[in-house]
Amino acid sequence: MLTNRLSIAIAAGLMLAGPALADDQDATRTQDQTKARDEASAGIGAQVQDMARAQAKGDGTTGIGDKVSEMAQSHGCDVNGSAECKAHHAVHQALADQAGAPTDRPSLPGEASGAAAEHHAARTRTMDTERAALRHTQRMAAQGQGSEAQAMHRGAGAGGHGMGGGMGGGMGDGTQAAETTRSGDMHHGAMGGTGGTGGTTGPGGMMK
Amino acid sequence: MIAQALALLLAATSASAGADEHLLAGAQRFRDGRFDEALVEFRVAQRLGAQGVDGYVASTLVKLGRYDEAVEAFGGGDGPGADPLIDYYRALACWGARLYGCADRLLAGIGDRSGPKVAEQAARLRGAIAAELRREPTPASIDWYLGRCADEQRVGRRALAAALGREAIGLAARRGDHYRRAEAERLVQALAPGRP
Repeated sequence: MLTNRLSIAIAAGLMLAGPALADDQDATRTQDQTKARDEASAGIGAQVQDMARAQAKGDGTTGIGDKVSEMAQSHGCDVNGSAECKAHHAVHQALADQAGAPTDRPSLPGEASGAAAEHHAARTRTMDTERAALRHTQRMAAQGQGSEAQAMHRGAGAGGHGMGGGMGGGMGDGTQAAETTRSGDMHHGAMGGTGGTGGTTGPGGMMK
Repeated sequence: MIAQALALLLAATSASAGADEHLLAGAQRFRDGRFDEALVEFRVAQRLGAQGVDGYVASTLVKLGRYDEAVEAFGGGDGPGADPLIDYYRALACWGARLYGCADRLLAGIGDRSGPKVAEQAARLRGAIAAELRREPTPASIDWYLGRCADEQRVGRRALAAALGREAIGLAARRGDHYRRAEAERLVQALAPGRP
């Protein structure tokens, strides 16, 4: 018993002390490296600003991005060789590539300002429908697979509403998903289905 | 026992490596426009302990048109953050959720911290917001924001509720009668971080 407790204590001590000792040993080295890195990277902001000033407007927008990317690699990721840093850099690059702008105009709610307001109202209605469909689907799922299988076996049309696929991804393919569900149900000839909720139209390509 | 401790350490290390792989996979999906898959990758990376992923998850929600969720995921406050690109996506989330005051503040904060493309888009969006907000806001608009604020507070989306409340305050301040402004301020104070 005592031996076991001792083993646990030693193991815990090793786990705690190991990194702490390593930290102590590395502290001086890390300080030196940090100092060197700071000195190396101190000028990046200034360099980027200079390049932005130098590049004439309308001259293309990719040049600076590429340079910034290169500098980030040489002053950050490649210096410490961190996979995590490279992963974050890749995500940033992807975010920058996809940074579009909305194509719809702003419109305050509660004011009848034409088509944009109607578009927003329709979207809100659609989201309400989606939430209702989701709640219904969750209730159906909670009833369990067993009763559903029995109903299928009887082939009596147990009153399924075809909701699941009807929700689609909420991204414009909902109608098609609902159709698929309907045809699927008919093909199986058991659940009957009442056509689902019709899916959603999604945000309709708001972003460029 | 020591073997178990080592196994734990190894598991932690491999989880971190796994998180990086999911981040990279998420980046690739995002770049390819497969945002629903990117969202899954980022969320897995988050669960594996990757740091600084919240903004990526929220930005992906923006691309999926799930603006309310995105505003909630970005969290409270609408002051400029450390990363202008994330601020830009945050502004788009506010725009999509019809939080134009929030979008405007974020876009103003981006300024020349970003690349020329984002800066140009930010300036254009700010112009559109200014045009829409030129008129005095109607009481119906303020009612809408306060109604949504209460709804979102009820369902526990506090960051979104606070953002809607701040929007109501901003609009009420632009009316001569300050319609429901004090009420909006009380609501937002109650939603401050740390309050139950």
